[in-house]
Amino acid sequence: MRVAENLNAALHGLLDDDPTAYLLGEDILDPYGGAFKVTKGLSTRFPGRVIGTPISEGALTGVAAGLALTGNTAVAEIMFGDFVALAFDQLCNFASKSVSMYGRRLPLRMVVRCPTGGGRGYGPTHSQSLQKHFVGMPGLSLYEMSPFHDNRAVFAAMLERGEPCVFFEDKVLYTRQMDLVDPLFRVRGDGDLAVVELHDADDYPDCVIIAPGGMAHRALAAMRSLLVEQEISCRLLVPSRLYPLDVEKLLPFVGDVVLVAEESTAGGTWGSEVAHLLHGRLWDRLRGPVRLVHSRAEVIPTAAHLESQVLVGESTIHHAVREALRG
Amino acid sequence: MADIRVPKLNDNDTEYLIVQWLVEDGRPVGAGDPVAVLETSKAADELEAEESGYLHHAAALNTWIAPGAVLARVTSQPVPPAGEAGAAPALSSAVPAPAVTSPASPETAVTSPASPETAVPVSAVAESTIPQAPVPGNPVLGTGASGAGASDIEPVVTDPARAAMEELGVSHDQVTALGLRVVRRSDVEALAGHRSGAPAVSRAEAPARRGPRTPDADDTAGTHRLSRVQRAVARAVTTSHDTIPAAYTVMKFEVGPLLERARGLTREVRRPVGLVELFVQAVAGLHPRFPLFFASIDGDEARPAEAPYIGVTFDMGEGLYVPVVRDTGSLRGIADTLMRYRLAATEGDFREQDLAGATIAVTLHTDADIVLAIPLIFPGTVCALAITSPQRELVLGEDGAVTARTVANIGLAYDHRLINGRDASRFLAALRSELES
Repeated sequence: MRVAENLNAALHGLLDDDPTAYLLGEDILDPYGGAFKVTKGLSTRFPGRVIGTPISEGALTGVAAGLALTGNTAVAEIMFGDFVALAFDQLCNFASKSVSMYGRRLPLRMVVRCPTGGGRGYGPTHSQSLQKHFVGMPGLSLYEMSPFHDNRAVFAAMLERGEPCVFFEDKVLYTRQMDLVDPLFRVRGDGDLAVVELHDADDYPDCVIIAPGGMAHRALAAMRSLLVEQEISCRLLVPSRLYPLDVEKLLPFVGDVVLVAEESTAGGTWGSEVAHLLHGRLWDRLRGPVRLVHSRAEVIPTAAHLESQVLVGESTIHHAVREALRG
Repeated sequence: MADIRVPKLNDNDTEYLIVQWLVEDGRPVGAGDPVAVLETSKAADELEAEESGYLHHAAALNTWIAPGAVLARVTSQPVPPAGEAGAAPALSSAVPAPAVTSPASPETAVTSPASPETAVPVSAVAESTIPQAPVPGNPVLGTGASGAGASDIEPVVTDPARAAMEELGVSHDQVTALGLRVVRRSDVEALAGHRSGAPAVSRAEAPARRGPRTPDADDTAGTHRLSRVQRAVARAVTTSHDTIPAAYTVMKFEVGPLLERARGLTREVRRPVGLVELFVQAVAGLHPRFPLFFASIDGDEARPAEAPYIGVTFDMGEGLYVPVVRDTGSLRGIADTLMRYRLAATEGDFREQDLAGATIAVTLHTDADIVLAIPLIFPGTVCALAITSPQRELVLGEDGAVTARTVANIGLAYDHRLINGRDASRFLAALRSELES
């Protein structure tokens, strides 16, 4: 099953199970079914609860927050995650505060979906990964879609938190198969965390790569070339929840060389938050500081050959691992 | 027969990119099944078959297609429409479909057994959506839960393992017979060792592999993990000691005048010249007179080397490296090469070709007060010269007067199967006179 189908099925299941669940977004109604077809079939099955909205991310996120505030479950789709910046005020100053500023905790069941990331030639304003701008906001949780986490379970976990969540969905994943990996590797799930490693993996790999879902295949491609060319063995950790990060969950799987890979541009990244958390726990055990791999601090070009120079690719990770092992 | 034509998907674009075929060419398709993904400037869109039958691609993957053009045809019989052999002639911009869309290779069939009912060929889907080019030579993807036993699958042989197979004469069938998913260099070495009667080192026992270790386990105390470079050193040392019966001869060289000359040459060639540079040049100069010292041993035969390629040891704290000086024609060239290697050694930043092909080694033990060092003889060579640190010593002249001079002990470790003590001392004496000349 492809990731987009899995996500579509998760939304069907959510609306099926929860009569208070609403879905809002631009162009999400059938027959179009959303720019990436993730909401396909939903408006036909659940008329009245799947709501096509005007082009105003601030408005649709605000309505979703209002629905959640009044006891409903709300899922909002930002057509391209870049435009979640227009909903920043609703998330930062309204939804996340609403959980705790009314004298007692007020659970909000709300998810804002953000198709994210480049690699498709969509250019500067439709290709960004804005995760880092939402890190560290009290009352707001960040998740990222992955081919190794069933979206139904992830949605259940997000809604169970009772606070607004932003769900980043790397666009390149939509057409990929769930749980599909190079036969060299095996995937095991440990709750929120997916661990991908060689079948005959050492308990102590040369390097541990922490990367969210959209980066996973690039990391795995690098892991293959590192193994074949240099006999370097790596383990990949894919957390579903980016923030707050459950660092305790990571600890049993990390060794003395750790690298965090993400598509966000350099500077003030999610990876630096992960590195900081790990340094606090593992400083005496690490061979060097946790390495960060991210895209260049540049506007993302449209032309494919220029875009690939800016965004993190397999070779970026490959070189970073070699560099980390050398240093 | 029914055509699947590309609809107009938006007002912005005049053509769309075919990013993915969801049904392979010639495969059955049901009405309503998605068959391909087209990408517009804003979004990806699936096109569906309106009829059931067999799908025949009329355009190639990763080409642009305009609204109204025929994307594919559905026939009731599994034969392609007459005159159609892939891309429609009208699509002049269509390029031949890349290998991705070709029928599953035998490898694919083994690792991702797409059953006839499976509408979506697993390998094609996975590959065509990789944002970067697929890893060369490794295009096969399968499910993580593949039920195939390890012995059923073609193993991935790492590049170091391939090199070892060539070195040690291990065949592809032998490594396949191991039944491993990944064949590493240590596996090949174990195979070769086993065959020659030497003790076989299983993967579990090999120094590169360690037992279970959890981050909080107590067993980390007191253990020291070999670095990657050190593991390579360990392999070379083990092979050397297992296979090369070495002997050692040391001769005292007076190096005071040599050091003096080096200072002058540094100014002359405008590059740092020291004992190492002079020794590398002198050793290379002995090649025509002492060809066996630059040879390699194969059974009862020695193969002389065509040219003196001098390996020089460097350990700048990042591990032991033995890069090779190939061009020994001029002192300036030698000094250039060695300077580049010194810089590379601080970073561990050598190129593969820097480290291959030595026919003799010069090993440096020039830290203060080192008077003796016995180097290992690197597998594939028969000699290693050791240079120790210069020392001041007193000399009693013939007239009874006491003077001082600077000396260094220059040692030669040699493979005793090929070289005897007399040859070794002749070599050292010749080296000394070469340096004095």
